[in-house]
Amino acid sequence: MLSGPFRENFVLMPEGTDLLMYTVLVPFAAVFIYGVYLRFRGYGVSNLLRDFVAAPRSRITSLLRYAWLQRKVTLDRASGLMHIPLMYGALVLFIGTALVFIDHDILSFFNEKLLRGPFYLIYEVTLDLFGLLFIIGVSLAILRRVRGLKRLREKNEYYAYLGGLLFIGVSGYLLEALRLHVRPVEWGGYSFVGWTVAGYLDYLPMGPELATGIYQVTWWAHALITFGLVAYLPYSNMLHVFISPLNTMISQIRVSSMTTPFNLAELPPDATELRMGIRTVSDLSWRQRLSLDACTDCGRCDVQCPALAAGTNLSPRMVVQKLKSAVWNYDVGRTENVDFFESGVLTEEEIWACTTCGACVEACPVLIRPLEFIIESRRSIVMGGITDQKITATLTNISRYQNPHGYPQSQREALVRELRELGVRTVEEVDDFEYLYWLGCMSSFDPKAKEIALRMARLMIKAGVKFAIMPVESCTGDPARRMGEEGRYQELALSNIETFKRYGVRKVVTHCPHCFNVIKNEYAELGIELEVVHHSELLAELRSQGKIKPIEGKLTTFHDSCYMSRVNGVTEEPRRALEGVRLVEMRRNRTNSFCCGAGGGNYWYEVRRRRRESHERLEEGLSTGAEVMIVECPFCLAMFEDAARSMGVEGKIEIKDLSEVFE
Amino acid sequence: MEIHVLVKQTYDPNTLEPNPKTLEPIYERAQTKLSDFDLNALEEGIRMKENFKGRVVVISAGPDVKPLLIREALAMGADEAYVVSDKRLEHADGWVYANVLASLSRTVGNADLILCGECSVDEGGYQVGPRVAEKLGLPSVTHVIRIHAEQEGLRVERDLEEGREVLDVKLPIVLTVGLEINTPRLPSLLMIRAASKKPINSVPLESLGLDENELRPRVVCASVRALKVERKRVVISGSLDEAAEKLLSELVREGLVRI
Ligand code: SF4
Ligand code: SF4
Repeated sequence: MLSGPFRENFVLMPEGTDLLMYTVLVPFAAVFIYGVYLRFRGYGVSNLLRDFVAAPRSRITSLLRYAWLQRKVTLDRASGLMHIPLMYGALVLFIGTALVFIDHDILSFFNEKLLRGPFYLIYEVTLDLFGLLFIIGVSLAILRRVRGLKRLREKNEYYAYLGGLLFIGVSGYLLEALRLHVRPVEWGGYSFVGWTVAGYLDYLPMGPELATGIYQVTWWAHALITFGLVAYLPYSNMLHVFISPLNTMISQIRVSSMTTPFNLAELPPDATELRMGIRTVSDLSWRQRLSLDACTDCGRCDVQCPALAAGTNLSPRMVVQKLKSAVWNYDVGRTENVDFFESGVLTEEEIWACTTCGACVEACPVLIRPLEFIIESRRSIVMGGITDQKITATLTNISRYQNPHGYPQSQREALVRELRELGVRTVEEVDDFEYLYWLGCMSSFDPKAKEIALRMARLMIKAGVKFAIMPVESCTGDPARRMGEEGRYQELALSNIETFKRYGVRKVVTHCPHCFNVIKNEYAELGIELEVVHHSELLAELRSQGKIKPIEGKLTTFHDSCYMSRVNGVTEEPRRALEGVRLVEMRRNRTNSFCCGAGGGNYWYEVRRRRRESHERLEEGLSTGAEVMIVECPFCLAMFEDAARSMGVEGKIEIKDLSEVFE
Repeated sequence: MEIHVLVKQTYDPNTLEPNPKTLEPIYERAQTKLSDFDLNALEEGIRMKENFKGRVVVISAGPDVKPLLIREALAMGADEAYVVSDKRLEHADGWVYANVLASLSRTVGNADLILCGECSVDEGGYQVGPRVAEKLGLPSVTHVIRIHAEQEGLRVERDLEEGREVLDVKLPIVLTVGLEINTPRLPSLLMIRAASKKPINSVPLESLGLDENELRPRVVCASVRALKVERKRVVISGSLDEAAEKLLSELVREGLVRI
C-alpha cells in the first residue's frame, strides 16, 4: 500500500470500467485517426518533413512566435484574452489526462506510480488552475457568440463544440468534487476547486450511494463527450488546433510576396503545357492545402477587407473556407476534380473585387494568405482568356500602349517637356546621375499626379540630388501581375530591366508605391537588384538634412498606402518627413491602414458594390477633424479627390501628396 | 462546321495623331491592331465552334499584315490562318478587299459560315461583308447582334434603327456582326506564344487569279485631315445680369439661339 498523497484511478467506478472505456474508445479513435489520415494524405508528411529540415531554426522561431506566443492572435486583445486561457487550459488538461493514462495503463504494469508524493500535489494544483482558465476561455468564447460579435459565423457546429468543451470543463470539477465528497482524502485541499465544491455538496441531502450514482453517470458523459469531440475534430474547423501551428511554420510572412511560376526569358517560345494558377483542387500545392485547413473561420480577414466593406461579393474568409470545403469534398470522393468557376465554388466577380491590399494577410492570426488564393485564381482566369470587358480593356491597354490607362505616349512627352524646362535631363543625356526618377504612368497621364512629378523634381533640384528620368517609360507590369497576367508582366519587366542595365541605373526613386514595390522586390527574380527608394523616404532624409522644410499650419492626417505600409513596412519615414506638422492619426493607421480601393487593377475596372472604399476612408479622415489629408500614392490621391468631390466635402478637407507639404 | 472569319488589320485610331501643321495623320507613329468588329466576329465564330464542333479559319488581307496580330487571333481559339500580305493593297477599297477575301475564302474552300465585322474601325465603310457574299453567290445578313443555332440553319437577330429583325437563314451564308454581339476574349501572353504552333498560310496575291479590274480601287481617297475646332475665346464680363444679357445677344447674333 502506498503512503502519502497519490492519485487513485477509476475510483468510485465499478471494476472493469477501464477495459470497457477502452473498448468504447476504439470506434471514436478510429474515426479520429481516419480523419487525420485523410488530411495529412493531402499534404504529404514527407513534404512537411522536408520543409522543416530545410530551415529548422526559422520554422521553430515562427512556431514559437505565432503558435505558442500567439503574437498575431493577441493583436486583437479581446481575442487573445479568450484564446490564450482556452488554448493553454486545454493543453494542460490534455497533458494531465495523458499522465493518468501513463500512470494507470503503463507504469502499473511495472508496479510503478508517477502521480504520487509532491509531484502529485503539484499536478493537482496545476490541473485545477488550468481547468479554471479553460472554463474562463470557453465561457468568453461562448459569450462572444451570444453577444453577436459580427465576424463570427453562426454555425451549429461551433455552438455544439463550445457547449461540449464547457461541459467537459465543468463536469471535470463536478467529478472531482463528488469524489472528494464520497471519499475525502487528506490532501484533497490541493484540488482547490473540487475541494471547495465538495464543501458545498456536504450541505446537500445526498447519501454516498446517490453521490456515487451521479458520479458514474457524469463520468461516462464526460468521457463520451470528450471522445466525441476528439473524433469530430479533424472534420471540423477545430482541426486548426493541429494545422494552424503547422501553417505558421510553413507560411511566408511577407504580405504580398508572389510566386513566379515561370521565367519568360527561359521559357521555350511555344510552350503549351504550362498551367498556371488554381482552377481545380489538383492545382493546389500541398502548402496551399495545409494553409486552407488551418483556417479557423475567425473572420478577422473579413473585418479588414476593404472590398467586403464596400459591399462587393468578396469575402477573403469565404474564399478560404469555400476552397477548403472543395478540397475536402474532392478528397472524400464527393466531387470530381471540377473547375472552381464552372461548379460555382468561386465566382469571377469576387476574385476581381480584390484590391490586393494585403490586409487579410496581415490580419490572419494563423498566417494564411487569402490574397494568394485570389491572385492564383486570377491567373487561372487569365489563362483561359478573359471575357470581362473592362478587365480586357485594361490589359489590352497595358499591352498595346504600355500603360493601363490607354493614353498615347504623346501625353507623357508633354510632361517630359515640362520637366526639361526645369532642367531635368534623361539618362540618355547624362551619366552622373545618382537616382533614376521613375515617374510612373499616373504622373504621365493624370494632371494632379503630374504636379507631384514636377514638385518632386523641383525639390530634388533644390536639395542638390543628382537624378535623371527615362526618355520613354513603359508600365512596370505591376497591374498586369496583380491582375494575374504574369506573361505580360514579365514581358514588360524584362524589357524595363534591359533598359535599366543599358543606362547603368543603380538607384531608383519613385513616388508610386506600386512601382516601388515591384521594382524593388519583384524585379530581382528576373535579373536586376536595384536600390529603390520611395519619395517618402527621400523626403524624410532631405528633411533630416535640413535641405527642405515642410509648410506647417493646418491640422493634418496621414493615409498610409497599402504597398508602402503593409507590404513594405515603411510607416515611420513619411511621419518623420512630416515632423513639425500638426498630425492627427486615423484609427486605422500604419500597417493597419485601410485601402483607398484602387489597388490590384481596381482603379481601371469596377465590380458591383454598395459603396466605395475611398468614401469610408475619407469619412474616417474627416472624423479626426483634420483639414488636410496627406497621401503618398498618386492612386490614393485620385481616389480621395474623387471621393471628396462626390461626397461634397471639398471645402472641408484638402487631399495632398506628401511632396506638396514641402517647398 | 467550317467557319471563315474575315479579319482586318487596321491603324489603332487612338494612336493616330495629326501633324499640327498639315493636320494629316502621322501614320508612322501609329500602332496597328485587329479591327474591333472583326474580333467580335472571331469571338462569335469560336463560341460556335466550342458549342457545335468544327473549325475556325482566319482570313486576312492587307498591304502589310503582321504575323503577331494574326497570332493573337489564333490564340483566341482559331485553328488556322490564310493571309495575303501585298504592298499592292496599299490603297485598296471595299471592292478590292471583297474580291481578294472572297477568292481567298474560296481557295480555302467549304465555308459553311463566313463571319466578319459590319465595318472596320479605320474606314467604317460597311462594304466588305455584303460584297464578299455577292462575289461568292451567297446570301448575307448585316448588323447581326445575335446568332442561335437551329435545327436547320441559324436564327439571327439584326439591330436596325427601327427595331430588331429576326431572320431564319440557311447555310452557307455571310453574316456581319456589330459590337454588341459579345465581348471578345483576351488571350494571355502565354496563349499568344503557344499559338505560334498553329499554321499561318501565306498566299500570294497572284495565285488568286484576280484581274486588273478586280484589283483597281473604285474609291480614291484624296486626303485625310483631322478636324480642327477653333474656339472664339470671347470673355464676357460684368455683373451676372449684364453678363447673361450680353451672352444671350452674342448667341443670337451667332444664330445659335432664336428668340
Ligand atoms: S487583399 Fe485586401 S481586398 Fe483582397 S481579399 Fe485581402 S483584404 Fe480583401
Ligand atoms: S483566413 Fe485567417 S483570418 Fe481569415 S477566417 Fe481564416 S483563420 Fe481567420
